[in-house]
Amino acid sequence: MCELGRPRRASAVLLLALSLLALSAVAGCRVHPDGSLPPGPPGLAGPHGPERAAALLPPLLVNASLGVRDRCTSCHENVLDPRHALDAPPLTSHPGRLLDVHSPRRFGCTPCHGGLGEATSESKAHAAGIGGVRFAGDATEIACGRCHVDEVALDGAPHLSHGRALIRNAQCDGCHVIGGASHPGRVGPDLSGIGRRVDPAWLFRWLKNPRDYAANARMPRFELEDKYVDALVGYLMTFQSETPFDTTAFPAGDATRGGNLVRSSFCISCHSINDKGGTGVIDLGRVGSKLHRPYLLHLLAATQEVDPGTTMPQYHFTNAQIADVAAYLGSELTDPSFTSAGAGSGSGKLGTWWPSQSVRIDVGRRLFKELRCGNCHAFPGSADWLRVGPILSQLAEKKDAEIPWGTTKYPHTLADYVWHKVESPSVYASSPHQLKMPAYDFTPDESRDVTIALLAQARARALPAEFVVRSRADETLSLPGEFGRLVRRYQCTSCHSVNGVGHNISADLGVEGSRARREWIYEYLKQPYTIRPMLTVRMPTFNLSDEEAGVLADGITSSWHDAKIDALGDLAAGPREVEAGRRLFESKGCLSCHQVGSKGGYVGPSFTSGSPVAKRYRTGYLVQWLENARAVKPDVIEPGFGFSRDQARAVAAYLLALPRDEKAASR
Amino acid sequence: MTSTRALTWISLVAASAMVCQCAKAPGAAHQGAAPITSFAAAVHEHGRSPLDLSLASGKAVYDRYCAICHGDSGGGDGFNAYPLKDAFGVNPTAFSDRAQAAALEETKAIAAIRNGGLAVGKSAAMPAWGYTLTPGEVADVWQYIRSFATTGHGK
Repeated sequence: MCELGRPRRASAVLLLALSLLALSAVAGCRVHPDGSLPPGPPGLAGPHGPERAAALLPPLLVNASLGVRDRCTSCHENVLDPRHALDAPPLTSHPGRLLDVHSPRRFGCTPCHGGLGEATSESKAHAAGIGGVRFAGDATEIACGRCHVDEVALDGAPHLSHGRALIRNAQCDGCHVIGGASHPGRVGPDLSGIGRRVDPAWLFRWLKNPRDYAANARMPRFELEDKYVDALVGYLMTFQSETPFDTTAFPAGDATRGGNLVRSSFCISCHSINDKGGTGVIDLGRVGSKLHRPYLLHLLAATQEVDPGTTMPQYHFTNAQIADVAAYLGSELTDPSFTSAGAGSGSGKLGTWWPSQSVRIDVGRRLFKELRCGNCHAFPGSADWLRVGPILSQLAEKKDAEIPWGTTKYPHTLADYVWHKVESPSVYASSPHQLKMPAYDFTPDESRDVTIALLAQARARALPAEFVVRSRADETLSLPGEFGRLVRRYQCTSCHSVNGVGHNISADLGVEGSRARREWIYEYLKQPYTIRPMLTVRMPTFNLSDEEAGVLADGITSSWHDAKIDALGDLAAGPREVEAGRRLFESKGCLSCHQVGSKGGYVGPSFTSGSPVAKRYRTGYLVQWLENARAVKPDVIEPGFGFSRDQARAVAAYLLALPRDEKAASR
Repeated sequence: MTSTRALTWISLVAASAMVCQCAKAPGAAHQGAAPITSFAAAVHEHGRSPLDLSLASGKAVYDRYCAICHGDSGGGDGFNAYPLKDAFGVNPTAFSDRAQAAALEETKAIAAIRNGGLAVGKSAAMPAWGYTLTPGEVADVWQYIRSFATTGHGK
């Protein structure tokens, strides 16, 4: 790769190679000056002919199972040396810490960067990876998808992760066959009975543009004329199949009490209200103008029965509390322009576009099928997915000639095609009726990241099993008995994961039974609080019964623990050990992030108020954490301390000896 | 393990919502610069210098570990700056303050990042990051810290 324009470099490399060969001959083994890179294969070291020329281009990174034979380090010779971070290419070192976990010895260079590893000219070596894109800059993340086939929170690949999260959220695989980041179920709600649930005027405005109702709405915009939206509304309102919910058991409800309950239950840990709070599920700011009261009551009373696919937990509200919450949502979180009474923007003409109701419904039925609404929603009589979009897992094979460039002016590469199509689906359509794909209104940055994720999944190839890294997030926990029933009822894995299974909104609970004491788990489940002072959201208050909290605490303690951590727990500490721990605690600046009494930072948990150490933690976990927190929580922010086992035990002893009482601690 | 749990998909979506407050058409993503008209440009396939890459890596480190005390813009005004005064009697160094930035000496500053404040005769409030960050990451975050006062990331 050094043949052109670099005579001096090439001769330097040549000299290096010759001396290397000489060394090998003398020592009877092959070494590399920095000892970090593997030697070239033995067959190439012959003294004559073209083989000799090849041998003079060291070093060669070889991995037969990945098909790698890379000469990249002939020119990029400092990739492993951080002292060259600011040198000009190709002499700069590799940025970031990805090489710590992807040793070039094992992976070579081209699996992540594309190009032709064996090429001996710069232009050939730097050949495009996929779709006209070189795996350089942010596009390098495209290559991550080859091994990391489906992770949506991949450390070091923020664009790929973001793109995959967007693809999942939008359920692109409703209409396209797509590898990686597929959604396990239908992302939209079941439409059975929607005619009883919502106001037709709301439905009209929702179908016109879901983001008018909620900025974080998942559903795309279909860009339909008003009369076709009206036809869809007419058809959807015929979904009345369920029997009306009997509301006689519910009192009228008090909006003020309901508001307090919504706040104290921390609904906003998941839902936003007028864009404040969690962003993963739909904003509740206008929900009172969307859902009729009987449905709200039914949903709160029997959440998982009403919406079997939901990630929402079943709250333990009384009928009076449910009525209060419904009263609050129905009176405070409203927007009159979304109701029949308000009749905003065109919805006042509902039902007047078509000569008869039967024509309206018939048109709506055909549109519903044509637009493939059933690919994201279950509905009465719904069947399998009818995937109509191109097969995106074969995107890489798309030929340039198949792309309808039209009058577009940007570069004609596959990547540019995908980028613009994602950003504005109508960009290639010669007429609006030709277009099936709805608009997702992605921002330019979102479109770029979706494109990165799409190109990444198209690059996935059959790999040796040891290189494929698969997310466990969509697996299901099979927990027996009452413990399993309660974990499902309270949807623990909507926020937590357990050894990687579930979501990563909150801590992984895989070793929670080794971390926390049973009594603390019980009390926390009964009355959750904000563990880390800097956080504004926390676990919702489920109002668990004593019995339920007991079953969960027992289940967590007995099922989710690690015997090796537990075994570190026999700690008989004397005053000298506690004193040694105190000195370490103070010298390491622990108070910068943690509070003891009234002093200390807001980042980590307080050591005395709320969750005193001795009340919350089991000793073995503390020792393990202080010795090497990353072993139990790989993405922890707390710095490593380099403690020996004895030092970790001393600090643990000090922490366990802290007074439980906040006032006592600050005296 | 490579997967991260602290950054949840929810916060990813939230972050994207915050990041993407910019204009609509691809090409208008970077105000002030020439419009981006190719995917290659959108993903910085060309044109990022080693310094750009170092700053980008440094920013990632800084935002994750440092900003909570030293502030998003290096003003010494992070969310966790206030309690340090009470617990340690010090304020975090304000990197965007030209006088404070000028007083930082490279060898000593890097030693402070790696070995903590006490090791360089300053406060224990600054923990040691040498067991957490690689030498390359320390170098990157130092580049980024210096940029607050020189390139106007800061105030």
